[in-house]
Formats: sequence, C-alpha cells, structure tokens
Amino acid sequence: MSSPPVNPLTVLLAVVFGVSLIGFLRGTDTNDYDFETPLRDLAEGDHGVVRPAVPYWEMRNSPRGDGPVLAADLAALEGAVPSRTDAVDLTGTSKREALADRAEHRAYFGAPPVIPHPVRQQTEAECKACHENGVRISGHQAPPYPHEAYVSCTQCHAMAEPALPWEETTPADPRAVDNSFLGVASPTEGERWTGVAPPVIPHMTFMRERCVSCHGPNGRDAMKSTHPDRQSCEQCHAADASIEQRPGGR
Amino acid sequence: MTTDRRSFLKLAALTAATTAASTAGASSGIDPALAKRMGPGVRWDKAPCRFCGTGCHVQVGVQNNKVVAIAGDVHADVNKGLLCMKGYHVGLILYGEDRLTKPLLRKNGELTPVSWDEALDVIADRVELDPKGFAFYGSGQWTIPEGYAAQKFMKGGIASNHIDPNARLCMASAVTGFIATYGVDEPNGCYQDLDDCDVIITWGNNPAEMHPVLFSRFMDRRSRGEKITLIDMSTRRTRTSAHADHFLRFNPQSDLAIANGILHLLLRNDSWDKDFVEKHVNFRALEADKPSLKGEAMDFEAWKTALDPYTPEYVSEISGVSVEDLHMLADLFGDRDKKITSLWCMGANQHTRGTAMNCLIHGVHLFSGHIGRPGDNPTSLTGQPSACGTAREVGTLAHALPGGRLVAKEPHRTQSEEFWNVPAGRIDPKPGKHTVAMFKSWSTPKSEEGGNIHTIWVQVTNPGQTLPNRNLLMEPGVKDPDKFLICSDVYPTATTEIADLVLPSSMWVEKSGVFGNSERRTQQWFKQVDPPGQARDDCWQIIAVAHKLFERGFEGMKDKDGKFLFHMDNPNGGTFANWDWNRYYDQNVDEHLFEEYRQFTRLKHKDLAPYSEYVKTRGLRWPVVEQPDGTWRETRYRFAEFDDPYVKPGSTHDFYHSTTGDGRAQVWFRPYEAPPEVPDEEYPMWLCTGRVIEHWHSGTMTGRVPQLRGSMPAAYCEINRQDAANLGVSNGDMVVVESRRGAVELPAWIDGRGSPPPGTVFVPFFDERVKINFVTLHEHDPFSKQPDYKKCAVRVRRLEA
Amino acid sequence: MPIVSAVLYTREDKRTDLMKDLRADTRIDVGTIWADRVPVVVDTPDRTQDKAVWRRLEHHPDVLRVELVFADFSDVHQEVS
Repeated sequence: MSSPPVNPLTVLLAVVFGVSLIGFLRGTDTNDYDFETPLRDLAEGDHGVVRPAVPYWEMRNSPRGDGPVLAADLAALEGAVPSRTDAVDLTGTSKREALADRAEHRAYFGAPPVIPHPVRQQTEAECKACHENGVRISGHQAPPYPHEAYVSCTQCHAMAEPALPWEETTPADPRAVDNSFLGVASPTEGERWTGVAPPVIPHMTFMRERCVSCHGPNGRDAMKSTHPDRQSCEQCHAADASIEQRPGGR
Repeated sequence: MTTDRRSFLKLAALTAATTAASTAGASSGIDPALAKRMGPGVRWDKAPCRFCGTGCHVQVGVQNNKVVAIAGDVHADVNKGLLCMKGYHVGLILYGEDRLTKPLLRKNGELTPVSWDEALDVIADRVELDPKGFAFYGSGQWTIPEGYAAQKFMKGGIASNHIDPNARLCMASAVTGFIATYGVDEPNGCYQDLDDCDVIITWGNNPAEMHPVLFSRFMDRRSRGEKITLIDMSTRRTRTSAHADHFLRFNPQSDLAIANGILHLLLRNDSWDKDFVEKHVNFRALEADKPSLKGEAMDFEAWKTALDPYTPEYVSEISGVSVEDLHMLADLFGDRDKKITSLWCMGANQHTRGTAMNCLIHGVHLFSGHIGRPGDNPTSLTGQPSACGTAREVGTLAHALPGGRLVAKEPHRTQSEEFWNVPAGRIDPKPGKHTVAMFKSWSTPKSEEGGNIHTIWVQVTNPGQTLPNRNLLMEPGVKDPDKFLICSDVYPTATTEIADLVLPSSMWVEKSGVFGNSERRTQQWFKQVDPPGQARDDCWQIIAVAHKLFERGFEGMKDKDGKFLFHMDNPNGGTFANWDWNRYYDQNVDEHLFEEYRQFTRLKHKDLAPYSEYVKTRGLRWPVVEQPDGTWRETRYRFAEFDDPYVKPGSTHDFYHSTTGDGRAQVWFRPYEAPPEVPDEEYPMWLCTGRVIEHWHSGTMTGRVPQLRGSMPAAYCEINRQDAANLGVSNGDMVVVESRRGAVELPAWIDGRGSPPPGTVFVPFFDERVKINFVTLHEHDPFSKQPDYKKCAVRVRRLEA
Repeated sequence: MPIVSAVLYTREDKRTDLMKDLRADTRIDVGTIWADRVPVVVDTPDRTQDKAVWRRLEHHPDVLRVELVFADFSDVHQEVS
C-alpha cells in the first residue's frame, strides 16, 4: 500500500527509450540475414516439390517452414522475446504465488480486477495503449485484457487507490469497517480424464475469450501455456457447463 | 548451537508450519480442499442487481449460506452478461462488519437492544396515539411486495395517506411529465432504443457513471464499427462528455430555453412532422387560475407565437450554447431519417421546473415525429432499482393508489377498496403529505398548525443524509420529544443516528423480492442466504405491526369480513401465520401479495403476468398480455401499433390514456423561468450535487465495500481551475462551501473527475462526513414536489488552518 | 536463541501490508502460503526479541490469529520468563 504508483508517462518513455535502444543495437548487430537479396532468389530451386507434412508431435522440434529465410527469422526473433519453449512451472510455489498475486486485486475469482494505479480515463485509448496486448517493463507487467474490447473501462474496473491528488486528511470514515466477504478462489488446475488429456477449462470463458492474455507470452510465467504455438485453444480444451451459463449448466 | 543444527531446526520448523498450513481445516469457514472454486460446490441463482434503475441481472454464487461470487447474467436482455463495478461487487454489500442485527430503542439518549416483540409494541403504540398523524417514508429500493404491503397498511388499513417514497426526490418530475403528456406514467420505449438509434442526446445526465451498462450498450456499438453520435448537454464536463461527439455546456436552468429554442427552429425551418402532429398531438398551456397537469387547450397559432422569443440568439444568450450548436440540434430533429433517443435523469428531474422540462423533452420528440419507432424515443432513465416497479406502479405516493389510481377519484377508491376487501369509505380522499411537507410537518411542534405528523417510519432509505435543507426539514423534529422516528435499515446511517427505534433488516438476496426497472421490466428473485443476527424482512415488519394492531382490536387492520388485513390461507387449510417470523418463509408471501396487486394493474394497461412467469424469465416488460396459446407476451413499445396490443387497429399511434380523451399526446408550452435562487454578491457560485460511479446514493452500502471505497473514499469540492486560483485554493486544501442554509467543510479537487465551468462547484453526496444536504435548497417543482438538488447559490472559501 | 514457527491466519484479499512487513524482517522466513494461511519461522537472538516479534505479529492488523506449530528453546540459557 505504500509503494508509489508507476507513473504511466514514465512507463511510456521507458518503452520508447527501450525500443529505440534495441533498434539501435539491432541495427549495428552483424547478422547473416541478407536484407538485400530479394526473397524469391533465396527460394529458387524449391518450386514444384511437395513436402510431406510434419507430424504433430514432431512439430516442436522440426525447423519451421521450408526455407532458410524463415528459419533464420525465427532464430533472430527468439532472442528478443521471452523464450516460449522453456518448460513452464505449473506446479507448486510459483503457480500459487501467481494465483495469490492475482487474487490480491480481485474481490473473488471472476471479479474485474481493481486497477493498481490511479487513472482518469477520458478515452479507451489510454487503457489500450498498455493493456491491449500487454507490456512488460522492468519487472512490471501490464496484463493484456482477457475480454473483448469495451469502451468504458472504468465502468467495471475500480481503482485500488483513489485518484485524489492529495493525502487524505479528512476524519476517519465510519464506513471503513472490515468486510467479511470471502470470495470464491481461483481454480488451480482443470480436470483431466487421464493423466495426459487436455484439462477442462476450470473457469468461465465469458469475458475470457482471449486465452492468450493470461496463458500466452505476456501472461504470468507460472500460468503460461506449455504449447503457445497452438492458437485454437477451444479445439482441445472443453468448457464446463456447470460453470458456464449454458443450457444444462445453469 | 552449531550452524548445522540451527539450519536443521529452522528447516524443521518451517516444514512443520507449512504442513500445518496446508492441511489445516477451515479457518474462516471455508476449506480450500472443498473446492471453494467455480464448479459444482457453488450454487448459482439469478437476481437483479441491488443498485441502479438499469436493472441488470446477475448470477449469485452461494456456498455455505454465503455469497461467494457474482457473474453477469449472459441470458439477461438488459445487460447480456456485463455489469459495472457496483454490480460486480454487489455480493460484498451484505458483509460489512457493522450490520445491524438487533432492534434498538433509544432510552435516555442511547440506542439499547430490545426484543422484536417490544419493538413491534412500540410501533403499534405510536399508531394508536394518532393514526392520522402516523407517516411512512418509503423507497424506490423497496421491493414491489414491500411497497404494496406498506401501501395497503397505510391507505387500506390505518386510512392515512401520509405515505411517500424517496422517489419523490428522484423521479417525481418524470412522473408528472409523463402524465401531463401521455396521461399515464413510464416510458413508451425500452432499452432496445439504445441498440437501434443513430443519435443519443443526454439532457443533463451522466450515464457513463450512473447507468454504465446502458452507456456501454450504445457506446460499444461504435467499437463494432457502427456510426453513432453522442451529444452531451450538461452544466459541467463529465466522463460522458469525454466520449461525446458534441459537448454543449449550458447554464443552470437554461435547458428549458434550449428545448424551446429547438421547437422555435423546427417551426422556422418548417421541418416539424406535420403528419404526426396533425393526427396525434394537441397543444396545451397551464391554466391561468389553479394550474394543473391537465392544463387547457392551446391554439396552435398561440403556441407558435409563444415560441417567438426563443430565437437562437436569445437562447444562446441565456444558455451559453452557441447558435451553431442550436441549429445543429434543430437540424437533427428536423431530419426524419435520423433515429434520435433522448436520455435524461436527475438533471431534468431535480429541477424547480422539472415537470416543465420533462414535458418539453417529450414535446420536442412529439413535434418532430421522433417517437414511437425503435431507436426514436424520449427515454427517461430511472435512478433506483424499483422506483418504477414499486413507488410509481404500486403508487406509494401520498396522492396515489396502486395501478395509476388517485385517492381523489371516487371510482379509484372504490375499486381499491374492493380489491382490498375493506369497508367502503375506508380510504381517505384527501392526498397526504408529500416528502418535503411530511418532514416539514414532523419538524413542526404538534401544538402548531401543520405539526400533526408525529411519527415517521422510514424503510430502505436514508433521509438524514439525502433530504435537502436538513436544518429546516429534520433538525427541529430530532430535538422534539413528541416526535418519533423509526428506521428500518441494514447498517448504521445518518438516519439511524437520530432515530428513536432502529429495526435491523434483511438485504437483497437475504429475502425474496421483485423489482421493476427503468424499461418497465418487472424482475423477480428468490431468497438465497440467511440474514445475520435478528435482521428480518421489511415486508414481514409491516405485516407483524399490522397483526399487533389487529390483536389489539384496531379496526383498520380488519377487512370487510373482520379478517386480518393481510390474511393468507394455508394451502392445507387454516390461516398462514405470516406475522410469525419463524413461519414466514413457509410460503411465498411475495407471491401472495404480488397476485393480489396484479389485479390493480389492468386499469392503466400496466398488466403484469402471474408471479410464476417472472420466476422463469429475466423479467418481462409490461403490459404483459396472455396469448391464445397460454404464453405471456411482453410489450416493448407502447402506443405503437406494431407492438402494443392495446392500440386501436389502424391508428399507427394511439395514446390511449390521453388526458384529452382523443388518443393524442400533449405538447405543452412551458416558458423559461429563472431559478428561485441564483448566485449573487453574497453567494456568488452555483452548487451542483450528484454522484460518482463507485457509490450508490448515500454510500451506506458501497462505502463498506473495500474495492469501491478504496477507489473513491471521500467527498470533495470539484472546482474550476480559475476559480481555485482566484480563491487561493490548491488540490487537497480544505474549503468551506456555505449557503444561506448551512455549510460543510471538505477538500477541494481542481477539476476532479468532472470539470466544472468557472462559477460552479460540484459535490457528490455519498460521504456521511460531508452532509452536503445541509447546504442544498428545498424549493421544489409545484406539481411534482421534487426538490432541486442541482442548483443553489453558495460561497466557497479556503478554510484557514 | 529461540526458533519458533507458527501459522498466521489472514484474509487472502487483505494482507499486502503483512507480507511486506514479513519480508522486510530478516529474522522471519515465510513458507508456502496456502489460501489464507501463512507459515512463518522466527529466528531471534534472545527471548525478549522473540516475544517482541510475536507480539507485533499477533497485533498486526492483517493477522486474524496465530497458531503455534514449533518452538525450540534448547539454545536459550538464561531464562527470562
């Protein structure tokens, strides 16, 4: 409660500076990628040959695409983003800490989190700048929103600390009493019918349509998917009718 | 001790503690191993949200007799799964630690616990002291059965018409505006207008904060690529203004002039809807002698002439709105292809000419033909969750009877007496005292003229914080030993602080209920958790007091056959002891009362369906009409042939409750009139009061939710930058805001959440420590009796340390 | 030099201050948190400090109650009761 909120302007400038720095360094980096030669020259010789598809279970280990261009591209990119193929710790301390951390901002699992920094919000662009895709800067994570875009962000998201630009000195609030509400907790894992089956989604998918926001590269480490290369999540991961507001559910 | 041994011991200690922590049983009542998580362990049921008039539906998750989660109800037509921050945290309002759990009687200045039986005796004593001086101050947050029980108790029982709701301070001008225009209350359209309109005009309200889900409903259409124009007319910049395409700032009270200016331009441009006006409109003016809502016929030429002065230049001078913007508004209304929805709430209602303002907004839509098709409607937004359903439809107003009837009309009294099975002549034909008059009388000594109200029973509202000009309306009564105040509430409030008897009450899903929202949608819910301590339902409290009086032989509590006024049969024979709290939920008292009340609703075509229908749905919009196949069909658009079954076939539009009896709506001439108190040399600034999204009304519930309180903990004086500089005030400086009536001290916030123009300050009223209503004005609209909280004259100065 | 461990019962949504205080004190180790329960070990040079730490934890606004698990005073020679 006593740490100062991160000033969005400082964050923005840090991003700009960081990006420029990376760009500069990147530009001076010697690299075997050939910017000059047009692509079709590199792909010459591959016309007309049909390659067998790579089996699913070998996809992770096989080189992406056909040509050296894409392979080189990926290798260079992999240096710039957090590694997506590192083993993800889904058990134990870090996952519990991640869930406890999430719970700190939510009255119950499923509640819209309170905003840990003061905002004014005049337009939705102010929020989208950091939260549309998520931004990670020097230890702070601006999580991407898991629901589709809405316009009036502060309709649902209260502030953890008020935007009042002064230290409160008014007399004690008689309504500042304790509240004994105990909200429902976050699920820790989805059920699987066998050890290796894809887990059932243990939470509502309404307002959580963008799986990648919590489970993708800009999510918390302990919640990341083990297979971020697969994009069609609901192909394998079923929802649970007893949780979803669906016919037969509730 | 060696380091090895130390380390070993520490490790052992930590392991032991961790094991203890992981396998410990329920600490605060919930065992995580029992899956305190989404899934079969949590029971879900529907309920409307406890807060605003939007009437969103929520799904309430209950486990171990406690609310543990809230989700937006995806099957609800109103909100389609979305809520606002108050709705998402509505589950927490039940669990503030200082819930009232015992009846409390003030003895020697201290509130001391008493039994329910003793409390009921005290109330019965006060009734018997002088039944005609017993008053009931109710609420637009009353459920329909609660309001109906109070209405029957007072008007059909005690035969006192001194029952009035807090909706008097909230929606009364909207009611009189509807009645003066259409002859019957409540909007013609529904929320579907928000889905279909091209243009939204806000007339002095701030839906981004006050009806957030409705605001999103039309604003999110923009994100989906639709072209929708928002025109915000307001006396200050708000969060709504930030999203608007056009922001028109107007001077307080000049909204009257703006509406007249639009009518003037429609005439000048010849762009009014001649066909519609010819077939469906009459023109009205106030009677010179004894003005009333009926008015008298006004010749069209006379009406036109009356509008002559409202040239754009004149209106611009009074209002501060530019001539271009006035032309823009008139051009929009002159374009029949544009679908325009007007929204308004407290800015137009809490107005000393609130009835006029409501009539004028209806008038602009009627005259330009922008009415009666989806997206094209004047839509009055209601503030409270059941001001429509309870206060207005059940008629818990000093002059009204259920179903749109009036105490002054003999056929209406006769019908009500028949439905209630009470002796003919029981109902008093003289309207009782409306809110301001009720409290004024309560604050007048009984020996003086007009001091006959000796007791007021307050339920589900907080007049100690929300009545205007409290020094005039409440303080004298508080000090007067002959006057008694009973307060049924859930938390300690500014009213319980001064009450003589405090009754702990059940809250929201701790009881069953029925609400009616802003689009005529009646919605039902069942009790889902138990209330704490000895808190009991407000409805039971009324029935129990009634039975106490019945036991004492009080005539008013007997019906025509000598039976208890609230008599209900047991299905297996015998009487259902509904006054006995332990038996109260043996049957569904709500259903009994609702089915009795339903009969009243046919007269004004506000037909309600059977209770069981509402159980199945997320609400139904009345009139709900039974179809040949036995299903019940709701009505989205009234008075329009394509949807309203009561419209005469072939007439396209039929205002079948027209005050002129010819199926026409009334367009009134109402001039601009200056407010009763304007800034002058002594008090040079305007004070506007209102709300913020975090807090509901006087903040007694939301103030106890940590997430909401944390987001907006304290009231502030929102002040313009230039004014602050002139006064030598910076952010956080304590200032005194003072009027002729009272003063408060609070911190200043330059601009604040909204931005006032120079010469205006804004103070939200949710903070118990800053009772701004000691400062506000009690002057009210002559027809609706609704006070004007939005404009009075104050002076602001820096508080010297 | 007493080594004492206990489980602190807290509210999951209201213990930010407590966690900060615990982490700031080098004499206190925090174990794996389970729901509303925080296991801690307190390792202090003497009984006086030990008492002071526990008194502070017991009265900490975020702590609902303390349940003792393990205490070792085998190293403490001078008894100050």
